[in-house]
Amino acid sequence: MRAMLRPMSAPHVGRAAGALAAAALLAAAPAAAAAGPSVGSLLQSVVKIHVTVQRPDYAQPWQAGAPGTGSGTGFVISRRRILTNAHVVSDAKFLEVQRSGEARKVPAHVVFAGHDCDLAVLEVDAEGFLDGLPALEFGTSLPELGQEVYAIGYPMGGTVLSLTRGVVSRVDMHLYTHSGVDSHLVIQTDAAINPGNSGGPVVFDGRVVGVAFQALSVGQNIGYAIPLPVVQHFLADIADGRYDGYPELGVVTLDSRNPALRDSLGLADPSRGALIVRVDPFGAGARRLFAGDVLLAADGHPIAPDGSVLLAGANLDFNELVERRQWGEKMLFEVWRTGRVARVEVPLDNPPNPFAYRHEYDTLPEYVLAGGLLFAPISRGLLGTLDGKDDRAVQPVFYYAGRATVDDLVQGRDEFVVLGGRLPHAANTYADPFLYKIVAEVNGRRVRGLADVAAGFAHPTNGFDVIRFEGYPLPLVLDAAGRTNADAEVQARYGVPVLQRLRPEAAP
Amino acid sequence: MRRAPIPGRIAAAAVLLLLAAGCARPPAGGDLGRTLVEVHVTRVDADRLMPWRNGAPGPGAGYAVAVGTNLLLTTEELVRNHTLVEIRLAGRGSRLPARVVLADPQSDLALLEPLDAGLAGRLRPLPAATAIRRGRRHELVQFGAGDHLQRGSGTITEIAPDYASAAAPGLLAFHVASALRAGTAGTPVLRDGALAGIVLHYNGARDVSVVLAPDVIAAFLAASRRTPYAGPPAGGFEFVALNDPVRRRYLGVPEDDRGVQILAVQAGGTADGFLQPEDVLLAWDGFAIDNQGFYRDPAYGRLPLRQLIAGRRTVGESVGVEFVRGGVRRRLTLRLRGRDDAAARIPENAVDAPDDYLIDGGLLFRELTGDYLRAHGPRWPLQTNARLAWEYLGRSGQPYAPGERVVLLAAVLPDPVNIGYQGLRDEIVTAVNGHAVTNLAQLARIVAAEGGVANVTLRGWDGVRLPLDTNRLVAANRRIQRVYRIPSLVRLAPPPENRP
Repeated sequence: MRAMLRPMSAPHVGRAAGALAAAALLAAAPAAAAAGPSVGSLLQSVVKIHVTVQRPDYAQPWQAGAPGTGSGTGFVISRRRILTNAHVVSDAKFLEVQRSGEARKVPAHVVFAGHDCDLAVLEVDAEGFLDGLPALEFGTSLPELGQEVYAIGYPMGGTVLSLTRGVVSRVDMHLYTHSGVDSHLVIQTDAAINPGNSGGPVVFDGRVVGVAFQALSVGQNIGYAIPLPVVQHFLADIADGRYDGYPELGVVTLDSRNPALRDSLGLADPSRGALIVRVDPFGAGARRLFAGDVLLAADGHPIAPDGSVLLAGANLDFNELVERRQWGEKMLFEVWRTGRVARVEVPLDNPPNPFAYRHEYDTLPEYVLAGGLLFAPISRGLLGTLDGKDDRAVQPVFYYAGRATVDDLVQGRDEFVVLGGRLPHAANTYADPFLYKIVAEVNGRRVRGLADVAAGFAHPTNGFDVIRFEGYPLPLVLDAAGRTNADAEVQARYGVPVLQRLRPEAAP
Repeated sequence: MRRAPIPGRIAAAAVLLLLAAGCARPPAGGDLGRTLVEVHVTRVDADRLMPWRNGAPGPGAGYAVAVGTNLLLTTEELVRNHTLVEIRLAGRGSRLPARVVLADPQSDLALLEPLDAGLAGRLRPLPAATAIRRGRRHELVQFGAGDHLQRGSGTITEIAPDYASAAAPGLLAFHVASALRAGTAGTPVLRDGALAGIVLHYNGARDVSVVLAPDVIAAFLAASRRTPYAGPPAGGFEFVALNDPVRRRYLGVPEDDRGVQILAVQAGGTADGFLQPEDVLLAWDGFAIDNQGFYRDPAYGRLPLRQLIAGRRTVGESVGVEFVRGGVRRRLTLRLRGRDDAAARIPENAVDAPDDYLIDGGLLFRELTGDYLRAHGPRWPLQTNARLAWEYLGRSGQPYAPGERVVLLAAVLPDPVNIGYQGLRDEIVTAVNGHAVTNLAQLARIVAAEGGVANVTLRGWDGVRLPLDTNRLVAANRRIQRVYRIPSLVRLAPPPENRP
């Protein structure tokens, strides 16, 4: 199941103040293993990425956040293209690339960004800048536990390449903090991976086996790299000039080891079968797989009772098989359904789940400001503005965000709209008790999405605006004329350029 | 289902109070040697998350003051969840046993009876003081370092409701600023030798002792003379202030300063069937309610509505109410009832009573309560299961059937019989053995009638049933009880009709 988590520590986009010089020296690069190119020969193709970012301000969505600078690492994958992490270049306003050992920096731009897998491809704007830099070769398989790998990059903003050594300590599914929602395979290593390393290659036997991208803030020296299957999935996805992202099956399974459970299902083979207990309505499995089905195999791979499959000698969640598919492909499941085996073909072509609440990048937050009251759809950015607020008051937002599909709160909704803030004005003096509640109706108009809020305010009820909320019996009541009159004053007083920003297709 | 509600918490014996107003005289010469006692309590609180477990016994200490020749008054919180109560006279080393005769968390008061034959019937009760007034000097008394009685005088600086107690928020109290910074529960406050209050706690921020008002004490003592003890009346509704002039116009209520808006009505309470959410309550028992929920008390001035409801009448009496619904002013007469936490869909259990539970096949079933949520820490609204927190916080005003509770599969104690289910936690149970489940007692009846939990259905699981092998349940239960050292696999309070 894709866990919904509150925002974790920021991904390691380099933000080194007073950057320390990296300790590693090119001369210190160890000799490479016999089969592949020497590590030293790879270093020239590892570049430093300088970035100026400007995040949206979800608390005051009419204005942008303050610009900030940082740095990360990338490596050459073709004549003009560089692979790096999406989090290095997200919300970037200006990008520059710098070759190792050179002072010159040249502008670059993002060609593709896969926020669900934290990978991005850049293209340098200066023709010939990367000439002479060989594209790094990728390995052919996941590294094995205990294998020695090197992480190459510019940790802590240093200007000289750093190379650290460690071993592969684990290969497992793990949350990718950049999206905050998606889990994919990761390589865990004790090679030092620090802010600034992000986007740098992790190398085994002279070939890239991973892309350094995040580290554990607790624990000792636990860093993570994006492994080849995920990198290759991304590169294959963009081959047609468009990034589609990962398909989502959207089924939740229960370990079916329990003998009574297996008896009740009529399952004879104790080595196979994970029970589906819920199917997400936005997943690819919706209307093809059902609660009560038992997944026996996926694409010919037997599924164990705990939902794992054996892949290249490792027990991995069967969703790894879904991960390896491209959006639009099909999977074939063998399912135990009502006492017999059924074969179910599932096209992996579901649109993105609007209630998954990934971090959003390179987009501006939507909002409606009416009488100084800020209405906004739930988003991960909005959730981030609630830190430090009264836990009881903000609980509805986290409940709706976390249980949207599980508790079937999504019926009749395109999104959940929250009264997310108040710019104080006489028109809204008494609105505080309604902050952070989920808007159900505005002037009798059922709120499917933010556009309904704007539309509802256009039709006051006998001179009043009556706003009703989920889970709270009393409405917020505004004087409609007072609210309208307040808008101009609020704009002037708080410097709000426009009163709303809606998705173009959602505007009333 | 849980700790018996207030009426059930009366000791079987009738409470005989000798403290009829005016019949007790102040101890001669200010001798309080047989009036004030030190109270030592051993208490054991239940483990909220594993309800068969007890916390470690812990000590508590405070004071009690004689209100009868054989009765002592102290705070309920001091003797809550006690396993042993002992008292000690000033200057005496020996501790004498006592028992709790009556404890009312809604008044935060308790009556103790000494069990020592040498003391029984020989206490010297204090007479009751009448109403207090701001600015008057009072005397606080407690044991000093040398075990003599230590006295300190102080002035009432404020008369205000106290919200420190989760079980009885809004109790009428007064603040005393005194050199004797009395914060020990039960410390008596005297005026002219009469009992004017007992200390609830010390407010360090304001440097005052917070003292329960004599009115609350008098009402408690009066109610304690009646069997069954009914506790203070409660309105059985929640309300919000109505100070927004726009809302007032929208509701069609006068644009004066009167009235609060009803937010929710508790099933089985005084207002059930009479008031409803969005009503605007203008007056109660002849007193106008202001838009903040206060009334003008003849003795004390501006006090909260809670005091008007709980402090001036007793359960069973009738009061007139005036309210606006749909822009129309209406009048009703309500018969006052007490507050019955057990009637709530999600009881608070603010007194930390041991929770009911049932374990079958290692599946731990219990009901959702406020204290269960709070057991997850001060940030429980975000740290508990979001669905459970929403059930508690997000369903204000929604009707529910009598006896309806939220039944949880709170945890699974791993055992071969439940293998594969160990990760389940805090799921809402909708059915057991195919029968819809509305409360734990009903679940227990199903289990008893059908020989155990054959299968469970959980909310959000699209009807999938989790089965257990009923043929293995007896052995599994025996094993689980032994392995996890669980004294009993079930604890259920008796149904209301069987309560003492």
